[in-house]
Amino acid sequence: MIPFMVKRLILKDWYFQRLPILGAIGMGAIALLMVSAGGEAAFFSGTVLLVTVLIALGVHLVMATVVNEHTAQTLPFVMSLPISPREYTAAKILANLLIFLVTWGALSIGTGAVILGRATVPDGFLPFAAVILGEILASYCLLLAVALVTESQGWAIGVIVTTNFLFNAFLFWVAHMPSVAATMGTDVIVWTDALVLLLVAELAAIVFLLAFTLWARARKKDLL
Amino acid sequence: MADGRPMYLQLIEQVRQRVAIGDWPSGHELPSIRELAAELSVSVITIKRAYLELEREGVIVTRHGRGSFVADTNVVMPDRFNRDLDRHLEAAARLAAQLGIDPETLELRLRDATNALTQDVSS
Amino acid sequence: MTLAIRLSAVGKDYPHFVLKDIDLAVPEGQVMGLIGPNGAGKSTTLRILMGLVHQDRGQVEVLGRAMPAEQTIAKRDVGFVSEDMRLYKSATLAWHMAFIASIYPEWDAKYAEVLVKRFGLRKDQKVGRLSHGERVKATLLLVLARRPRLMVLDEPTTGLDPVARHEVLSSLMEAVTDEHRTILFSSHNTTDIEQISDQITFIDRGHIVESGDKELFLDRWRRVRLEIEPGVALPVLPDVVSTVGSGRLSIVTTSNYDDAMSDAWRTAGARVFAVEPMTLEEIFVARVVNSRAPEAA
Repeated sequence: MIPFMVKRLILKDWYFQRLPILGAIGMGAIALLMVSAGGEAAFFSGTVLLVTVLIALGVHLVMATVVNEHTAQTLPFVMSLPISPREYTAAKILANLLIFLVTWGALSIGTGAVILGRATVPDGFLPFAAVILGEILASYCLLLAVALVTESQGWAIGVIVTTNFLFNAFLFWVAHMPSVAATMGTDVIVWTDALVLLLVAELAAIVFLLAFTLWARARKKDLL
Repeated sequence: MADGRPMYLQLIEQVRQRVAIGDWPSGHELPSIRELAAELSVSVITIKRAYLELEREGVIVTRHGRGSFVADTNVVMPDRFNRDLDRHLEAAARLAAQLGIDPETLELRLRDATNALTQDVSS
Repeated sequence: MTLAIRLSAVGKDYPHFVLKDIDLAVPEGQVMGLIGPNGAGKSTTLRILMGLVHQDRGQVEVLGRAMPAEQTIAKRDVGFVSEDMRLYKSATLAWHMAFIASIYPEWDAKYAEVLVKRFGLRKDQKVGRLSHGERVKATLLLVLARRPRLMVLDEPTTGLDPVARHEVLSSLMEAVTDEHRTILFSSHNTTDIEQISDQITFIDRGHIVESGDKELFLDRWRRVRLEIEPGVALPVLPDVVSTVGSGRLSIVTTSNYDDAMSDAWRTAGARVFAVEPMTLEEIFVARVVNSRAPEAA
């Protein structure tokens, strides 16, 4: 199934990121508690914390597992192992996705549970939350792709700064879409075409980015 | 190369000494080339060269696949050293000629060298 | 004769540097030393060998496998340590040993412990805290304990104190007591190369200047000190790499000394008062300097 060496490298990255993973899940859980606690202030800070945790985890993961391999000069060590460049790329993508998806997935499900389950949070918030969470995942994949393809700390930081800025704009834009604005505070869940389109676009972007990364890396002749 | 001479020559010298003072009697098995190379941290090719030269000189005998052994020393040693001495003396004579040193001066220089040697040994 | 390494007409183009016509053959069981100035192409050559850099021209075969196409298989039996390589700072040596052991079934745990002791390392120490020398030794340990058929080492003794250097060289030579194991290493330290190499290759400015048997090199190169009468012209002899003179003294460096040369000089009226062997460092410098500036000998 998964080649032996790829598994080894994934386990290695998991091992090194075990504390950030726990930290993110822990902080995320606290954020969800705040969101469901009741009251605007708690809701607001809770959502900000949740978003921050996810974005920060994504940034940390890519910087620590991909960019760092270059700056800390551990790449020659890894590449001297019986592994092909393709397997290395696969291992990096899988390790990263698995780690992030576990956390993102857990917190997304938690968010859904809080929204639908708790009376303090209006159910109508769900579509908005879904689109935002989807965007975070897509941004993360973008960062991962750029880091793997450019192998540059500079580019990675550039993407981080840009997506961070765009995220806020995105948040604002979606929140002010007519249907979203109208139903967000109510218990009515409305999936407009626009929202569905956004979700599809996010998924398409993720698939494209990962495929592109595999393709671009396969074309590289030199690893160092 | 602490004493400036090629390593293989130093090795040859060391083996000859061991044989001469009886440390390694006839038939004593020498370490294999690779073992000695590892022991001394010296390239295999240098050890090989030393062994080949020692065999050429008759100091050791190599039996293919079985190793290298000290040759029958009674036959070899005095002969060997005498030939060496002759070679050194010829070289000294040649150098002296090049430097324009006459035979009498050369003899004095040889005397000095012998004295220095006995001084070294006694101090 | 099985070749552990074969490079044929290998070339690589970079914006500011070109590696060309690299031909290298290292038979199994040998130690090949690669000497060259900084930027000569030693590291590039070693990386091409390991499949980390894809050559633009030529064929590369490592343990019979074409590189970089079959690199995954080849690397099972090859150990690589380079100067720019680092281990994971936040992990301990013990973690690294377990990591490597989980990948290579040939990992010899007992031998690894011997090396830990010999190198004076502490397994529970985080790699980031190791000194330069300890880190180099740790990285080498991870390779040595696997007993790979081929070791490709880029500057393994650079920056090591004399004791560490001795420990490393000793461990490398211990490895080749097995006549099926091969070592290719590059170094600035000509003493190391001179000491343990069977074959030597000089590389400069992207091409191989000379390659061959170490003992032959040391045998053939000589520095000859001559005294000449003013006005006497020394005969032009083949294989003279350089002639340096001041006043009546002349120092001739030759790559292929023969007693006939001294005879020729004496016939011309010069006095030969010394024919000296050269250290590998002196040979290397003479050869490189000469190959850079075409000599009007």
